Amino acid sequence: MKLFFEGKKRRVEDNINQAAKYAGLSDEELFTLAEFDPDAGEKTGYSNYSYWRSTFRAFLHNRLALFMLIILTLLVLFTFVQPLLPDQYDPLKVQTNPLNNSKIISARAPSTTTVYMSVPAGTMLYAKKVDEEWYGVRNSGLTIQSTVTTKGSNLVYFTVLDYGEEWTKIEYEDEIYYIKKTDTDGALIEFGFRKLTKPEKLTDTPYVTYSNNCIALYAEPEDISQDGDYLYVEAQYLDVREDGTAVTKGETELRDYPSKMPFLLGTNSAGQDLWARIWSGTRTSLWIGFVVAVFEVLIGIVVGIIWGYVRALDRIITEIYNVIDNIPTTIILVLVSYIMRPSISTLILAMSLTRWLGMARFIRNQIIIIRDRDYNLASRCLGTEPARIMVKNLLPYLVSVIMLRMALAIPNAISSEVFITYIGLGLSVKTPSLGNLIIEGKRLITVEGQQYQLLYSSLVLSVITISFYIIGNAFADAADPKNHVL
Amino acid sequence: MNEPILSVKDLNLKFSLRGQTLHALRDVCLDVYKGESLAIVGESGSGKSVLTKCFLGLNDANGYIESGSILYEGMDLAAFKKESEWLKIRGREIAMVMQDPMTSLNPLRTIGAQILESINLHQKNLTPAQAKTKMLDMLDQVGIYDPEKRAKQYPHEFSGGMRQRVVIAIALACKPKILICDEPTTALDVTIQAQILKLIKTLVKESGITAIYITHDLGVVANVSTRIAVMYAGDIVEIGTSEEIFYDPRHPYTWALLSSLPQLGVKGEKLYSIAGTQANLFARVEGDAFAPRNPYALKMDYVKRPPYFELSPTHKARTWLLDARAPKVEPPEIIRKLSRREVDLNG
Amino acid sequence: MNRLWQFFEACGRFISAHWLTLVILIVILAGFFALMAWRHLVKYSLKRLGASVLTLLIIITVVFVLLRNMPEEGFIENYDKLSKEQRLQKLESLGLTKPIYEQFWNFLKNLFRGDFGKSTKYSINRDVMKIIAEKAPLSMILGVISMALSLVMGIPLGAAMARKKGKFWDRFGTAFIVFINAVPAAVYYIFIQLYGTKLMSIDLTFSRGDPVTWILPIFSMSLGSAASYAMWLRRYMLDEINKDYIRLARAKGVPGRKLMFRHVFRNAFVPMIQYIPASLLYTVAGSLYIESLYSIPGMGGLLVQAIGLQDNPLVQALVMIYSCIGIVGLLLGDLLMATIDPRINFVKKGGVR
Repeated sequence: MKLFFEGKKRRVEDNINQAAKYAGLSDEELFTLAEFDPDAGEKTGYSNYSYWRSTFRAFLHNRLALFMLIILTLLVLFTFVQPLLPDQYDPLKVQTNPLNNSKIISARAPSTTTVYMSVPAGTMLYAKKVDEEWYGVRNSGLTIQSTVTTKGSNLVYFTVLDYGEEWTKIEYEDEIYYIKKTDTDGALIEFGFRKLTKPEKLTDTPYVTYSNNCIALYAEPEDISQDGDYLYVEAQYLDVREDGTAVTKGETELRDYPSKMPFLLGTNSAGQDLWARIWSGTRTSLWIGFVVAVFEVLIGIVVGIIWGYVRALDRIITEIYNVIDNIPTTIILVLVSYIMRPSISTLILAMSLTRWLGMARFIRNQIIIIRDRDYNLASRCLGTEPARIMVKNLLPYLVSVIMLRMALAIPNAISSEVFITYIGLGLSVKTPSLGNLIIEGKRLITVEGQQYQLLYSSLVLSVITISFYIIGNAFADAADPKNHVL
Repeated sequence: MNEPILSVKDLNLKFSLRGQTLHALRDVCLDVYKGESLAIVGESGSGKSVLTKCFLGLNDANGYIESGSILYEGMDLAAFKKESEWLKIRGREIAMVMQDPMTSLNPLRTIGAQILESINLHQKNLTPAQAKTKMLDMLDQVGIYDPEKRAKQYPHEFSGGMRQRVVIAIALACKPKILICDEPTTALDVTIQAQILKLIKTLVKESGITAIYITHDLGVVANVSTRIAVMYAGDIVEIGTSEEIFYDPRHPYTWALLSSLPQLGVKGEKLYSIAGTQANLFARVEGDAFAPRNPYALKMDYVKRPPYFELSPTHKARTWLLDARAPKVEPPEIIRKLSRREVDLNG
Repeated sequence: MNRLWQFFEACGRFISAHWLTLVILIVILAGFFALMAWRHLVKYSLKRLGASVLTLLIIITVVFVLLRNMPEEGFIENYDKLSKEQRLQKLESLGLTKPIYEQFWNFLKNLFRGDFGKSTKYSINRDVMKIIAEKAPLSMILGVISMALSLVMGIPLGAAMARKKGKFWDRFGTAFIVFINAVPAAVYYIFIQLYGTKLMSIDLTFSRGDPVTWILPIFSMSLGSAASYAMWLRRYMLDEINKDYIRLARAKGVPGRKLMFRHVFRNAFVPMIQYIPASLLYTVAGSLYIESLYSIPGMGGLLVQAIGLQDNPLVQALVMIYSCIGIVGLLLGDLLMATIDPRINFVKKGGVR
C-alpha cells in the first residue's frame, strides 16, 4: 500500500525541495539563472503511471467492494477449513438419538442436541462415566424437587439453595430452612427441620415417596430414562460420589447424547446436520462455479484467438456464434439436464455449453482491434513483434475480463443450479449444494417453525452471490483505465 | 479600446477527483472586448477549455469555482448556481462550437431538427414556417448545398467538414453575442481546416460577434485572432495583441511555443520541442509552474510566483525576467528572427 | 377482467392451432416491413431471417436426436403395467422402431401439421398441443401485465438513477439491481411468496377468480425485467450524457428537463428497444418459477410438471416452443432496431452483432 503512494509524494517533494533550497537567498542571488535540468521537467508530469497499480488503487477506493472482498475471502476460506475443524458432523449422516435410535428430524437451532429437561441444583442422579467430560445419568429417585406438597395437596414452591449429606438448605418465603434427610414418613407439616429418608438400594427407589402429609422431597422424575437408558450431563455440572450417585451443581440440562458440537443450525427434515450441509453445499456450488469459469475462459480464449487470427475461419465461426447465441440459454440448460443423469459434471457441461460465447467474442474483437488500430499498426511498423503487442495490449484487458467473468460465473452458476434443481433436474440430496438446500428449505416454508432451513441457506447463498457480483463489477470498473486517477 | 464585454477576475477553479483536488485555474484574469477575436493558446491540459466552459456553466459537476468573478453585462457568471440562470446565457448570449464534429451532433435526429431546435429556443416569436425558412437559410449560410434535402438527413450522412458547418449553423442560429470555438478544426482534414476557419471568420465578422478561439495551433491563431492569451498550467502567462505576441514575445513559455512552430524551423536544424510535461496540478505549485521546464528559469521562479509585468497597455506577461533586478536574457535565435519579421507566418 | 380473459384464451387457442401459419406470417410481415423501409434493410432482414430459420432447424434436430436417446418409458403411458410384447407393439405404433432418419422425416412432417404427438404421462393420450393451448392464455395475460408493470417500474427508476447520479434513487436502484441480479430468482421469489402472502393474509396459491392473488405473482415476475431495464437505461443514459452532442445541446441552451427527455432518454432508449420483443415474448411464455410456486395453471408450470413426470413428447414440444419464442424475439428486436436507428450500416455489419 505504502509503495503505491510513494511515487507521487516524491514528485511533490521535489518541487518544494527546490523552493526550500533557494528560499534563504538574497534578492541578488535570486535573480540569477537557476541550474536547468532537462530531466527535471519530466518529473513534474504524470510519468509514473502503472496500469496494475492504478487498477489496484481504484479498487481499494471502493469501500463496499473491499468490505465484500474481506467477507467473501473469510467465507470461502471457512468453507474449506470447516471440515477440518474438530467435531464436525458428516453432512450426509442421518443423526439419531442413541437412546432410542430415532432420527433427530427438523431439530431447531441452535444446540438441538435435544435437551430433555432442566433440573435444579441438588438433583441427585445415578451417574456413569462416559468419558472425561461426559456422564450418563439415570434417575436415582433421590432428587429433591423444588415442589412441596402440603396437607390437602396444596403445592408450595421453594428454592433449593444447597445440598449436603445430611441437610438440604431451602428458601421459602424469604426465610431459610433446613430439612434433615433422615426420616420422611409422618413428618410434621410445620416448617422447621424436616426429615428425609434415603432408600436402602438406589434402584429400588420408587419415584415418588411421599404421603399427602409430607413434603415431597423426592422427585417426580417425569420421563428421565424410564426405559433404563441414560441421559447425558457434562462432568463439570456434576458432583460425583463414590456410591455411583451424583448431585447437580447448578441448574443442569439433561441432554440426549454427548456432543461437544451442537447442531448449530439445527437438522433438516431428513435428520442431517444443516450446518455441515450448508458448508458442504457451498463447496459444491463454488466448485461448479469455478470449473464453469475455468472452462469458459479456456474455451473462450482458444476459440477467440482462432476466430480473430485465422481470417479464413472468421465467417464460419461467426455463423456458428450467431446460431448458438440465438438459442435461449435456459432451454439448453433444461435440455441437457433433462437428457443426462443429474450430476455435477452434467451441470458443468450444461452451463459451459453457452457461457464461452461472450468470452470468445470479446477476445476476437480485441484481436481485431489490436490488428487494425493505428497505434498498433505504428508500433508494428517500428518492428515490435505481434506477440509483444498482444501481451502489452491484450493482457491487461484479458486479466481484468477473466477476473470479471470468473467473479460473475459463480453467482451465475449458483443461480442456474438453483433453477435446475427447482425444476427437478438438479443434484440429488446425496450431494449437498446450495441449490438443493434451497429447494429442500422451500418445501418446508409452510410448516410453522421450520422456515429456518430456508433462511440459513438463503443467507449464505445471498452473501456469496452478492459479494461475488459486487467484487466482479468493482474490479471491472477499477480495471477500466477511464476510471484511473493519479 | 472599447469596454470589455466579458471580464474574468482572479478566477480559481478546482476539481475534486476521488479525494484529490486539481487546481485547474489559478488566478485567471482576462478581459474580452466587444467585437474582437481572442485566441487562447496553450498545450492540452493548460485549462483553456475549462476556462471557456466556465462562461457557459458547462464544467463537470465535480468542478467548483473557489473564488473570483466572471462579469458579463452586469451579471456575475461565477456566482450562478441554478440551471435557470444559465439558460439565460447559454446559446442566447454565448454559444459554442466544439472540437469534434463527428460526435457533437445527435445521431438520431435530422440535421434540420437540430438547427430548428436552437432557433426555436431563442427566437420564440417565429411561426413554424418562418423557423423552417430560417433554418434553411442558416444551412445555406454555412455553405451547405441543397439545404431542403440535406436538412432531412441524419448526421451520419454528412462528412466531418459538413458536420462542422452544421455545428456552426446551430451555434449561430442562437444569435449569440459571443461565440466560443473550442479547437474547431483539430478533428478535421488539413484541407478542410482552412475552409472552416474562413467560414467562421467571415460569419463572425458579418454578424459582429465576439469570438474566442481555443487552440494549441499557433498557425490557426495567426490566421484569425486580433489578440492572444497564452495559457500554461491553469494560468494566463502572457497576453497581448497578435503583433505583440508574435513579434515581441516576453515569456519563456511563449518563446518555447513559438519555437516549436514548424514554419519557423530552419532547414537542417532540429525542430524545437519543449522538454518535459506540464506541471502536475494535483500537487501544490510553488513559484512559477513553468520553471522546471524553463531553461531561462531564475532561482526566484522557484520561490515566488511572478506578478504581471505590463509592457504596453495591451501587453503583459508573468515572468521574473521582466523584473528590473533580473539579468538580461536574450530570447532564442528563432524568436529574434521573428521579431525582425524575417519569417512569414502563413508561409 | 372476464372479457379480457376470454380474449386471451381465444388468442391462446388460435396461436397453438395455427402456430406455423403465424410464424410464416411474421416472416412475411417482417419481409414486407423491410421492403417498405429501405432496400439495404431487405438484405439484412433476409439474412437475419435465414439465420433464425437455420437456428430453429438445428434446435429441432438436436432436440429430436437427444430425446430419441432417452429411456423408452418416457414415450409410453402406463409403462410399468405393460408386458414386453405390448411395449414393443406400442413402440412400433409410435414409429419408434423405424430407422432414425425415417423417424426424423415423419417428425418434421408432423411438426408442419402442428402435431407434436400425444402426452404419455401428464394427461394420457391427449394432444400435446391441446394441453398447451389450454395453458397458454393464462401465461399470456400474466405476462402482459407483468411486462407492463416492469416497464412502469424499470424505466422511471433507470431515468431517475441516471439523472441524479450518486443520489438517493441511484443508490437505491443500484442496491435493487445488484440484489436482483446476484441473488437467484428462486430465492427471492420464495421469500416474496412466504412473507407477501402472510402480510396480505391470503393463500399461498393462485386462484383465477380472486384478483388479490394475482398481485404477488405479477409483482415477482416483473422484478427481474424491471431491474434489467433500469440497469441498461441508466448505463445507456450515462453514456449519452457524456457525449459531445449533449454538451453542445446544453451549450446552445436546451433546458435540463428537455435535454434529458428529448435527447438523452430518447437516444438511450433506442438500444433498449432491441431487447423488448424478446423480453415480452419470454414473459408471455410464462415464468417457470412463478407458475409452479403459486400453482398457476400456465405453460411454465406445465414444463416443470412434464419434466417431473418424464413426459417426453410434452417436454419436447415445450422446449421447442420456448426456443422458438426466444429466436423470434431476437429477430424482431433486431429488425425493430434496424428500422429505428438510422446509423446501422447493414452492408458492413454482416455477422457479429
